[in-house]
Amino acid sequence: MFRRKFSQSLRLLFVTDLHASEITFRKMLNAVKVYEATVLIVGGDLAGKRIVPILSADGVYTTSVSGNEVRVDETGLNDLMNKIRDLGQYPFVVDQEEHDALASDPEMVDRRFTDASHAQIEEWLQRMDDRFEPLGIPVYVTGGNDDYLSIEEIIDAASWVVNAENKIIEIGPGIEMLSTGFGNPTPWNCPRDIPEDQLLERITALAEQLSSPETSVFNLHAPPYASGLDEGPLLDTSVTPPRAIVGETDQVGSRAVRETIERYQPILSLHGHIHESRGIQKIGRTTCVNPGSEYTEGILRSAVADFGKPGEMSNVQLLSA
Amino acid sequence: MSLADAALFGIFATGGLYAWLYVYPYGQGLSPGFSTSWYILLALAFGVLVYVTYAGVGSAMPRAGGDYLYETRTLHRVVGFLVPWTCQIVFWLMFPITGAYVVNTLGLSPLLSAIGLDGAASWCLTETGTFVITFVVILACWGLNVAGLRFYRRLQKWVMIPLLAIGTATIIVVLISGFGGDFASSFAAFHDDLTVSAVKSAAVEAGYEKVGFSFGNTLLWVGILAGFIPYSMFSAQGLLGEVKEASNFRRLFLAFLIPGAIVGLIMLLLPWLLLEGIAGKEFLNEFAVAYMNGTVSIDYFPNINTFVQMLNPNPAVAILVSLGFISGGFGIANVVFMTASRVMMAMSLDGLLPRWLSDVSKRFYAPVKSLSVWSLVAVGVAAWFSYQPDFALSILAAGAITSVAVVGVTCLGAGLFPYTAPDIYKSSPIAKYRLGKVHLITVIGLLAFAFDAVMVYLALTVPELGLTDPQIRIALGVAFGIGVVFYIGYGIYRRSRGIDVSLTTREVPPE
Repeated sequence: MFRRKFSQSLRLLFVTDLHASEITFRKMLNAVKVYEATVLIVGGDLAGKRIVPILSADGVYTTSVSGNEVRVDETGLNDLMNKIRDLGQYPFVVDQEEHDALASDPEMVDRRFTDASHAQIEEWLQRMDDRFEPLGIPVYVTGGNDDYLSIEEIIDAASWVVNAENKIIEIGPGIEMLSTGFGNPTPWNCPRDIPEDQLLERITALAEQLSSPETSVFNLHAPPYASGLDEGPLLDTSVTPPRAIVGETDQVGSRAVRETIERYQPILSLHGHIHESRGIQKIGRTTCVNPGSEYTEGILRSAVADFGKPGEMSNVQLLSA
Repeated sequence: MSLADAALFGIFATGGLYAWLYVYPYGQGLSPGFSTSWYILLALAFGVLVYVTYAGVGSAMPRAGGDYLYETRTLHRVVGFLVPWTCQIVFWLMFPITGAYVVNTLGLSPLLSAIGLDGAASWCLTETGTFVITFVVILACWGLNVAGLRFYRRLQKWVMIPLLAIGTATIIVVLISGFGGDFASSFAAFHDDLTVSAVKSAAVEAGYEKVGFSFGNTLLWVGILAGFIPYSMFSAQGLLGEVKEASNFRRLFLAFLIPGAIVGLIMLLLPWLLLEGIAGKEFLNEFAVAYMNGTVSIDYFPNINTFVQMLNPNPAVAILVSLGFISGGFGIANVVFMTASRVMMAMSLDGLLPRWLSDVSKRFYAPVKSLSVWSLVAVGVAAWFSYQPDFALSILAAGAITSVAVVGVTCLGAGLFPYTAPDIYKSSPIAKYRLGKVHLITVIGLLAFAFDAVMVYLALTVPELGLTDPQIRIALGVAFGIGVVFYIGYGIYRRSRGIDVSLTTREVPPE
């Protein structure tokens, strides 16, 4: 009944879908130490969801937060901006002229958003470099379907953090990890949405390079179809943007991801994308994990996987902080 | 779900009209000086304290887990596992049974009688009838939860809420129209050979004496009703991860308060006050005393539904009121199934329960395994309840008191929250609320804990509530013991496999 304890060679901490939430990111920085992880894997969807212009007029700052109008004076501005950043959004102060311009110029909004997300991701990478390089803890990052392709060169420029996109990386003794943040199509036409056949081709091309698929880890942003990890809100696509129908769900995972997991049967697969579908499920011998995401509440959802003997996974747990 | 959905869920978590099972006739029949009005108001007052507390911890930690989560984070992980495990194991099992009891005795049996099926109505109240109907209710709850939340929301919206509303409205309309009428004549017409005078004599025979208001004898029972009215916050005991805006303290508080007030004031207090005005407070006490002591022989369970039928014998009235009770009784049974499965999933995902309990069926996208295990155990408890009628009150009380006890421990944790989990507290929505220099949640949480502790102490030491019986105490002790053994044993087993069980409760403050 009781096994002899074996020494743990690798503890992997997986976090995903941070969506620019500052407080969740800051928890992640501490979580590596608290959970005694030896490797950090940051799944995709690093970028936030929107810019938040804060109108400045006569010493009063006005904006909308979560649908509610908020007014603060100079003393409250810093707290307000921190609260917005914690929600995964990009605040900046504007005057009336720029405020009006943003309201009428979608391209200007896009430019501000792109600049803000690039700056945020660059800053995060720098902080991860500063934090984990002295500790010698490897950090592997991929974008997700929401992240612009332009962040690839930002991640590549990091001094310690490794861009894992479309690569095979040995993360521990006998443990190869295959990663891609591309996913199956969504109603929002995200930057990394690609057709299922292309996704299958992309993942298969990587998997064929594995020396030992059965001891590998698949780090794929999109969860496998009909896995219990892909229950997303059912959408009313008759409106733009699509609107979630409260209380109704649909399976929105990737068939390509499922097919590759079924074929290659890695020891572990890591997923994100569907924030609500937290869980651990099995597809054959593969343990599939989606830690979920509650970044808007400032909650760090993560998964920890322990590997003992080379290629043997002893445990995987879902954690909340 | 939205906060509005959570509020509607909260109504069914109290049972709505189901709570009448605890309003009459136990307190009136067993405790001289018991005041029903104060009973309801005190339970609602406790409820308000609970709403503030749960909105506070819920908005600070708006995710699945409920009391397990709150107590783990604010007190200790051992407390967070053992207390909810023991209490919720007990009341999760009790409420499908007691919910079915209401479906049967206050719903199905009167409904069958109203449509002329007296034989079937009587059969419902037999031991076998009780068990069969309870089994059917458990099976229906299992099926509804396997079918998924989508189906339940539609059923709630289009069937259960309308039936509950119509049942409540019918009760109130009939009572209002009964003012100024001759209650004694209505009472006599309802019974073959029982009059108001005979009831008064039977009460005297049972030892009834008219006494003044007794706060102590009223407070004694508050712990029972406090296991219901405050439970309009039930979404905070397992479902907050699925509730939008759960991090908004003020709105979450209102989402708890409004349904609680609707149940306490409109479904319970208002009908009671109307009934008192029609039948007389003294007669209602006498009837209860005579019934509880067996000096009056009736073949029904006296409650608001039967009084309403006395005032208006139209079968349609009986049917509408019965459907309201069926909705409320089934509702409370089902919400427990929903929450139990999610808390078990949360514990399983955290590694405190076996992994297979969080397995989600590929076919139904529901935790069929945990639901099935739960249903089987509930059927076993249903058999005990059905075939051991002497323990009926004890079982009803055990379910209510364990509901109250777990709330009390969470309130204690909430009161200490600013000091025991300061990193979580200081970024929480309730952190800005203070009474003078003291944190609001500390004042309210500790006040609620003190109130709760008194109620639980009284319930466990005073014989009238039936919880001093050794069998019930053994049952509660066994539930606690199973929790201790499981926590320690499963922890040893997981550590032997190299699994670090402490990870789930480690705090991670922002850098």
